[in-house]
Amino acid sequence: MSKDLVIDTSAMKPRRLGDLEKRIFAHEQVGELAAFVPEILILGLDARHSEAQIADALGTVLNHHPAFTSRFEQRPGGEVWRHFDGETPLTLCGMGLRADVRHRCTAHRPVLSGQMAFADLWTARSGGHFLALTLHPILADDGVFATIEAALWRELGIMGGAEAAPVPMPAEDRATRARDLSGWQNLLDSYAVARIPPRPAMTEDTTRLRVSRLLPAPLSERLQAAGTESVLATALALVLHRYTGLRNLRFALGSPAVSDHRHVGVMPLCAALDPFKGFGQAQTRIARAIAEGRAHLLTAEVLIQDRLSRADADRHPLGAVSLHVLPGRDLPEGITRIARPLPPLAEEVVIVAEHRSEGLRLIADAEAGLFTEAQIARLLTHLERMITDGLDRPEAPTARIALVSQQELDALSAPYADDTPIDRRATHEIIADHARATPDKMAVICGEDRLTHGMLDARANALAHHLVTLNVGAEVPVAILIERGADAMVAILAAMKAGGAYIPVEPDHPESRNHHILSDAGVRVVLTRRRYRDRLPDGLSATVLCLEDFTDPPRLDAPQVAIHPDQLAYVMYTSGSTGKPKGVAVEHGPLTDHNQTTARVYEMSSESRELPFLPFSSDGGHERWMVPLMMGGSVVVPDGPLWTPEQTLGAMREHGCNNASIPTTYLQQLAEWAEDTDSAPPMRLYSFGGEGLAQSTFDLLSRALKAGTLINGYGPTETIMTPMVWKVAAGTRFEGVYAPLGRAVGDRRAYVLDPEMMPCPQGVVGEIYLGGTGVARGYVGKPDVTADRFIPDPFGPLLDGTSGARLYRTGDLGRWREDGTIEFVGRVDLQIKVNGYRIEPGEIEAALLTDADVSEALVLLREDGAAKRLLGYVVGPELSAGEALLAGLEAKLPRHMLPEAVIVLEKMPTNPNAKLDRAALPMAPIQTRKGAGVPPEGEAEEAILTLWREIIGAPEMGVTDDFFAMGGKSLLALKALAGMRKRWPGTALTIADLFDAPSVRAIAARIEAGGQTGRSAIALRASGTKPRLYCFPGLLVSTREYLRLTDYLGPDQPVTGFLCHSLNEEKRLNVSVEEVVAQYADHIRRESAGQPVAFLGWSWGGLLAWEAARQLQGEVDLRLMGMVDVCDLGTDFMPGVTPEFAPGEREALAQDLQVWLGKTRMRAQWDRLIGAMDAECYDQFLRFIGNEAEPLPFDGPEISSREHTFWVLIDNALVFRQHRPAPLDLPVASFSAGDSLSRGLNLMDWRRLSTRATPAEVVNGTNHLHIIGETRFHSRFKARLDAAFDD
Amino acid sequence: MSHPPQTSLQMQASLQAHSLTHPQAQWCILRNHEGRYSVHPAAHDLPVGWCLAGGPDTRDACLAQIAETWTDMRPEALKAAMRAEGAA
Repeated sequence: MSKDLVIDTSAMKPRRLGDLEKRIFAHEQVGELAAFVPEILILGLDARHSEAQIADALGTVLNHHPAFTSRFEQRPGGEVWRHFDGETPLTLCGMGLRADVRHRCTAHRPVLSGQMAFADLWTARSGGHFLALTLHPILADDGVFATIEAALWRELGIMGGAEAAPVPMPAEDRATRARDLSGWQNLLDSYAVARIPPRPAMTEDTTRLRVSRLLPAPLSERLQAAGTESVLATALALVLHRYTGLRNLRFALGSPAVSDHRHVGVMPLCAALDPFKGFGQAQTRIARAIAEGRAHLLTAEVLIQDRLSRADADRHPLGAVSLHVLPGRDLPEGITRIARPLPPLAEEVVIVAEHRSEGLRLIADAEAGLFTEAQIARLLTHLERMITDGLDRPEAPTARIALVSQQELDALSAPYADDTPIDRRATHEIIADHARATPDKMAVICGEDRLTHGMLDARANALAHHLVTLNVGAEVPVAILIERGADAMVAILAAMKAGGAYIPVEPDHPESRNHHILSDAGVRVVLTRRRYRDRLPDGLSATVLCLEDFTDPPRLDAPQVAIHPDQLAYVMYTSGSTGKPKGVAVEHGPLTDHNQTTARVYEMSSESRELPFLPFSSDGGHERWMVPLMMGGSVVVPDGPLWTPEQTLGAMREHGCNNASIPTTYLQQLAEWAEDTDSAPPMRLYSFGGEGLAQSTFDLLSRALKAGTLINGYGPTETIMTPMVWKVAAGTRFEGVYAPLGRAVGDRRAYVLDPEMMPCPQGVVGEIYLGGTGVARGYVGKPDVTADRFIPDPFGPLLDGTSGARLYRTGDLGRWREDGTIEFVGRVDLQIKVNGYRIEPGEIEAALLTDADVSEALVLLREDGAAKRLLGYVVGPELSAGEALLAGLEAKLPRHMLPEAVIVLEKMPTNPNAKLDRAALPMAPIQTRKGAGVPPEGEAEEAILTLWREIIGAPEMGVTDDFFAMGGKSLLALKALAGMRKRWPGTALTIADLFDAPSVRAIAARIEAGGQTGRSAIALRASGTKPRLYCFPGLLVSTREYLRLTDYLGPDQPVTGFLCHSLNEEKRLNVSVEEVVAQYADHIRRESAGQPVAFLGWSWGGLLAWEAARQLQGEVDLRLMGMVDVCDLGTDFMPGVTPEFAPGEREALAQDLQVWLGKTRMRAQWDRLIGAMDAECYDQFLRFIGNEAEPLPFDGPEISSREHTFWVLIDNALVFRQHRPAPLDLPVASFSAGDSLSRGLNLMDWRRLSTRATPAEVVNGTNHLHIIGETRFHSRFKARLDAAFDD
Repeated sequence: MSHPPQTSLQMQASLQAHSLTHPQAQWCILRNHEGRYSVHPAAHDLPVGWCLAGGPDTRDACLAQIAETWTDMRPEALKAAMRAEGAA
C-alpha cells in the first residue's frame, strides 16, 4: 500500500536544496527556466465523491504534503533553504469544461517569490469534478505527483493507486559517490553520444516539435510482458546504431523516482551493441546496463558538471537523445488522469512512453531547428519496426531488421516515371531512321564540317561495309583513335553498324594509357588518322585503317547485321585512381533503353540542338550526341578541347542551340563570363555533372545562364552514362551540401545501403548502389572484379518481380533526402572513423568551402606517430585564418566532426604527376607552430628563449616567434612571466608587456630598457566602424580569452580588453572596486567620451563593468551591457554571514593557520592581507580554510602557483565583499552557462538592478570557464550587439 | 570426444556472427540465368534468379574461384545466338 508515501511536513525542518532543486532555483534566478516548465496534473473524479468530500481530503493534502507547504529563503551569499511552513489555497472554480481547466492551468505562472502552487477544483457538467494541480518545477515532477495522488486516495478513503516502485537513489556516503563517479567517468569515456542525423540545413530555432503514436494493443501487451523499459531502450539503441554506425553509444534514460521532492532526472545509458546477435541478447545486455547504472546512480547534475569540466565535452553530456518510460500508475475506480507532466524536454530528442488502456503511447519531442516532423515520425516508425521484429525473432541478427519498409523502398529507389514502351532497336538503328525520314536535316556541326542526317548515315554505312570485310562482327572491338568531331561520330556509328563494339581512344591522352587500352581490350581494328599512326604501339596485331585512306563512296544501305541486345556496343576505359584503367563493357540493349528514356527525361525532340562539351573519353560525352541524333535533332560539337567561354556562348548563339551539356567545373566559368558580359544566349536546358555542385554555384548558373531547366547528372561508367539525374527548374533551393544526384533514369533503381546491405532510412549515410537492367556487362577480362562490384540484386525481385538482376556498388556515399532524391556525401574509401563516429571528410570540406575566401579544402585523418589526427587543409584565405575557420566550423558541424586544426596553405602540395601529395601536407598549423627559429643573441635572449621553449613545449621556437601564436595560453603566459621575474626581479613585467612585446627579442629589449608598460588596456582589435566593445576581465584571466569572440565579431568591431587587476604587480591592500575600475573608466573616457560603446563583463568582470558604467554615467552612450555568467559573491565572505564552527574548531583552525604562516614564503603578503581583515572576515577566512579539502599550499609566490592563486582569490574577496552594485537603468543582455545553472551558482539577477535587463540566455553544454570561447555564445551575443547598435 | 554434427541452424548462426565487412565473413558464389557470376553473403537468402555455384568461403576466396571459372563473360543468350549465327 501507498500509505508510507504520505509525508507529514508539519514537523519537517528547513533544509538546503538538493542538486536538482538548486539548478532549477538558479534558472529561476536568471529568468530562464528553459526545459523546466510548470508541472501540471489534472484528474477527473466521477460523481461518487461530493465536492465537500474532495475539498476536505484535498485540504489535508495541501496542508501536509511538502509540495504545497514549501517556502524558499535565500540567505546572504545566495544559499537557499527550503522551509515547510507555507500554504497553498484551494480554489473552487465552479462549473467548467475540460478545455476551461486546461486553459486555466496553462495560464498559471507559479513563481518562487510568489504563489508556487495552484490547486483548482472544478465541477464538471457530467456531475463529477476536475482537480487541477499546477506546481512550480522546483516542487514537483511526475514522481512527486505519485505521492500526491496516493495521499489523496488515502484521504478520500479509497483503495487503489500504484505500489511504490523501489526508488534508486544516489549513495549517501562520499567515498561511494566518488567511486561511482570514477566508474561513470570510465564508462562515459568509451561510449559516444549518439545523435539522430539532423536535417541538412540546421537552424538556431529553439522551438520544439512533437509527434506521438499509439502502438497497437497486442504489441503493447507483448512489450509490457517483455519489459517495456528494456525493450524500448534496446530498440532505441539499435536504431541509433543504424543511424550512426556507433557500436558503443550512449543516450539518456529517465530515472523515475517516487518521492516527496524532485530529484535525479536522467542517467546515461551506455549500450555496447553487437548487431550480429539477436534482439534478445541485446535486451539482456541493456537490462544489465540499466540495472548497473541504477545501482550506482548519481544525480545528473554531478555527472554533467564532471563532463563539462572538459573542453571537448558534448553539448548534451549524458546523451543527445533521452528515453523516459513513465511508470504505470493504476487509478482507483471512478478516477481518470487527464494530464500528467512530461519529463523536462532538454535533449535534442526526448522520447516518452506511457502505457495507457488503449496501448503504449510514444511521444517524440524534438528541437525544430534540427529536425523535421517527418524525420521524427520516422524515428517512431523505426522504433516500432525494431520492437516488432526484435520480439518476433529474438535470435535473428538485429543488423538484418529492416527499418525501411518495402513500400518506402519502392518509392525511394524509383526511377523517373516513364511508361513509354521501349523501342527494341539499337541506338545506331534509331539514328539511321532519321536519315530516311529527314535526310536533309542538319545532324552534326563541327568546325567547318556539316553533316545532314542523310550524309552522316551514308558515310557510316560505307565504312561499316568495309569493316565487315575486315571481319568486324559481334563482340569484336574497334578502337576509334580520332579526336572528338564528325569523323569520330561516323567511325563510331560504322563500328556499331558492322556489329562491332567501339572503344574511344583520345589521341592526346598519355601514350602508356592508350597502349594499355589497345592491348587490354583485344582490339582487332583501329580507325584513326595518318597523323596519329605513330601513337600506336609497336607490334599491335590489329588492322589499322586511316580515314584518309578510305575512299569508298557513301551508300544508303547498311550492312545486313542483326544486333542481339546482349551484344557489346562499346567498351569505355575508366580512369581509376589506382592501377591501370579498366574497360567497362556495355551491351546494346541497356544502351538503347538508357538513351531513349534519357531523351524523354531531357524532353528532347527533333527540334533539339545540343552543344555537348563533354569529352569522348567519358561515356556521358557519347550520350550527349547520340540522344539528340536519336530524336532527329542535331549537335554542335566543339572542334577543339579548349573553347573559351566566349567561344562557347558565341557558338550556341550562332547555331541556335537550345540545350548544352557541360562539365560542372567549366560551367561555372561559363556562367561567370555570361554574368559579367550579360551574354547568355536563350537556352531551354543545361545539363552538367562530374563534380559536387554547391548551392552558390547552382544559384550562379540559375541567375547567369537564364535557362528554364537544369539537370545535374551522375553516374559511374559501370552503370552506363548518366543513370541518375536531378532535373529542376532554375533557381531551385536545395537543403544540403551539394546539389542532389537525383533519382534513377530508365529501367534502373538507386539505393542507399548500409554495410550489411540494408536500405538506409532517409538522412542516414550509406553506399549508393544502382540496379536494374541499365548496368554494364562488367570489366573486360576481369571476372573477379566484375563479380566483386556487380552483385546479385536482392530488391529487384521484391519491387519489380525481376529475376537474376544485378546491383552495382558505386563506392560513393550518399543519403536519401526527404523527397527520395539522393545526395552525394563522399567516397567510401575516404570515409574515416574517429572515436567510433563515422565521418565523411567531404562534409567537413563542404563546410569549409562555405567560407567565401576558401577556394580548396581537404580533410584528412593523419597518423601522427601513434595518434590519429583529423586535420583540415584549405587554400585561399590569409595564412593566419586557420583558427577563425575552425571556430566557424563549430557553428556548422557536430563536435565529433571538428578537425583538430585547420591549416591554411598557399597551395596544395602536388607530386610530379600533378596529384595531391598527401605526405607533404604539414601535420600542424604552420603559421602557429613551426616558427621562424631565429637563434638567440646575447644572454638575455638565450635565457628567455630557453624558458619559453620549455613552457610552451616548442623546441623549434626562435626569438622572433610570437609567444601566443606558438601555443602560449594565458596560464603559460603567467608561468613565463613568473620565470622572467625570477631572473630579473628588478623589472616588474606584467602580462601587458607580454602582449605588447610577444617575442623573445622584443621582451628582452624591454627588460634591458628596464621599462614596463603599466597599461591596463589591450586593443584586441584597434579599428572598425562599429562602436567599441570594452571587455572586463574575470579573476586571474588575461584578455586572451576574448580573442575568439573578437574574431567572431568580425573586422568592423573594435574591441578593447582590460587586464585583470590581480595580474598587476603593483598591489595595494584594501583597494576598492571603485578604485580598480577608475583606471578602466579613465581609459574609456579618453578613448570614447561622448561615443556609443558596449561593455562585456565575464564572471567578476561583470561587477567591474557595472561599476564602470556607474562612473561613466552621462559620459558615454552605453548601448549594451553584456553579462556573462556573473556570480554574486558567495556565502564565504559575504558581510553579515556569521560562520559556524564546531566546538573547538575555530581555535584549531587558527592554530593551523599560525603554523602554516610560520612556514610559507609569502608570509609578508599573507600578514598584510590578514591584517586588513576585520573580525568577521577573519572568522570567515578560518571557515574557508576549514572547508578546503586540500591542505594550505606552500608553493608561492610565483604567479600560477596554487598559493599565489589562493592569495589572489582571498585578496579579491576582500575587494568585492565591500562592494554592492547599485541599480542603474542600463540595457543588459545576460548569458548563463548551463553548467553554472546546474551547479546552482549564485548568478546575478540583473533584472533586480535594471528594468532594462532581460532574462538570461542559457548556453547549454558549457561551463563558467569555457563559455567565453563558445561559438554558440558568440553568435547570441553578436545578435544582441547588432540589435543594440542598430537602435 | 566426438562433436555433434552442426545443424544447419547452428551453421546459420555462426555465419551471421560477422559483419559483411569482416574478412572472415562467409560468402558464396552465385550464378544467374545469363551465366553471370557474383558473390553473396552466405547468411542472406538467395536472391530470385540466382543459384548457388560455390562456397561458402571468404569473399576473396570466392572471387578467386570466379576468376578461374568465368572465362567467357558473354551472356548465355548471346552465346546461343552467336553459335546459331556461326552454324548458319
